[in-house]
Amino acid sequence: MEVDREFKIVTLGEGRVGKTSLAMRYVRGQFNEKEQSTTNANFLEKNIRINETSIKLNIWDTAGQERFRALAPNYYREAKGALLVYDITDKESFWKVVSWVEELKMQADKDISFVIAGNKCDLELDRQIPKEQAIAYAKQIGAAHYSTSAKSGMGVNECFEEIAKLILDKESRSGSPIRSSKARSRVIVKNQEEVVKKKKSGGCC
Amino acid sequence: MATESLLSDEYVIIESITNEFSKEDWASLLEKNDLHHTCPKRIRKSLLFGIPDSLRGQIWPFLTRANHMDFSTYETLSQRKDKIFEPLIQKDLARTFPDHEIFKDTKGPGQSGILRILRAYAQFDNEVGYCQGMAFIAGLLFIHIKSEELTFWAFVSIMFDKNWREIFTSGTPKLVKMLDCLSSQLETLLPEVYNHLQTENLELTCFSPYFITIFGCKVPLQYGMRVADMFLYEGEQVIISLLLNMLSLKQRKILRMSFEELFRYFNSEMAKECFEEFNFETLLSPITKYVESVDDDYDILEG
Repeated sequence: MEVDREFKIVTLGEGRVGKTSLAMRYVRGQFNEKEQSTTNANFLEKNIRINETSIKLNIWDTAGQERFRALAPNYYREAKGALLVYDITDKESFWKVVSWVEELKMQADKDISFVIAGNKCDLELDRQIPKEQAIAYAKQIGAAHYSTSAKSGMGVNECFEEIAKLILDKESRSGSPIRSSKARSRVIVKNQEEVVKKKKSGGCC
Repeated sequence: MATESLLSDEYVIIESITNEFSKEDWASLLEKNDLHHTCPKRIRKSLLFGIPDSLRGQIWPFLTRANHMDFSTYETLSQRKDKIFEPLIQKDLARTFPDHEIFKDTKGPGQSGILRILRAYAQFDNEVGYCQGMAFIAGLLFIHIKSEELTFWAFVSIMFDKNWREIFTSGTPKLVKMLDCLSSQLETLLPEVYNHLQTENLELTCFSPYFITIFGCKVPLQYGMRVADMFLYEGEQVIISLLLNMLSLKQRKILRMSFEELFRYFNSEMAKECFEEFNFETLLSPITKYVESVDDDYDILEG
């Protein structure tokens, strides 16, 4: 399939809020009640079509553990969209979203688009974060808010597609397509020189 | 095969250090419980060859000296719950080896065992407390050692003697150090692979779960257990050597892969594939021996 655009998206949020489950539900249509915890990151891709544009989404699903946060910039660097996930039954996880937003605003691509997902909506009875509060916060930072359940599938396609739409919108407003995530060419030149140099000094044959 | 006698009587075993331990040898070693006076080369060789499954649960505490520790301490520590870490530990219980027999059920022996082990550790080392990844290490140990106390002390030994705790402290200094080490060894020993990863813009942090969980969360348990056999004796170099050898053995394939393919390959298939195809002796051999020269790339650049 011919792809018009390729977007890098990152999922961020506290541990066990359902980042992997949301990504798996979206890309593979599966839900595993016993998902193993993520210690680094997973990488998933999905081709979608929005209006007349075919888009390949490269989804980086990161580990939520606070202490590995030092590794996170490797994943959100050059990302055009972020899905910030919290668990509606866990108040702390919502505040973690707020702190991620702060970090991304400082460190990530300045055009990055945010979508917030309040996950585990199948556990409505245990809700700790009022929906209105989350929506108000999303509005304040210019993000969209979705109520999701990786278990039932509710809101999952919508939240990922919203990110793609937001990125497309930003592209069309800025006039030129936002370049895809992997700036490789500059590195290649440098490395070819290095390889040649090593070969000459190594004298292995 | 030539046999070698050791002149020093420091070693318990004096005959033929080139042979690996038999099951009986292991049993007698365990009985003597004297790691310090056992020939290191022969231990290494025996571990590479493979240890009797039935003795693994005793050999691991022997290698980590866990069986020298005071047991009452564990009893006390495992009963205290930490306000901050308890919920974090609880969250990960069902997410650690979720398909394994003893970890399947919430109230099963696996989940309740590592809950107490990790709870005790959070008390023992309050700076580290609990961090994601630790449950896989404790879980892997517990599956084989079976005793909570011995697992706890073996875990403590990994965290302190091998300084694995600095993987879990803020900023993960130990992980950063080991990834740097992997990077510089890769650059020296496998420059083609190193350059290819650079060209594809792939960060070596994609290997971090192999360090964080000692391969535990990344390969089927029967291989994780063999990695632990070696790691408990030789430490971090085992992880680095395994990765370098894998990258070396698979380099032809790797050099053809794009960024996405590389990430996926390193994140799941590579280790499993290598464990299926090669024995541990090959996977832990001195790396230079296995470097294949991939001249094609040079030809292109030079031509």
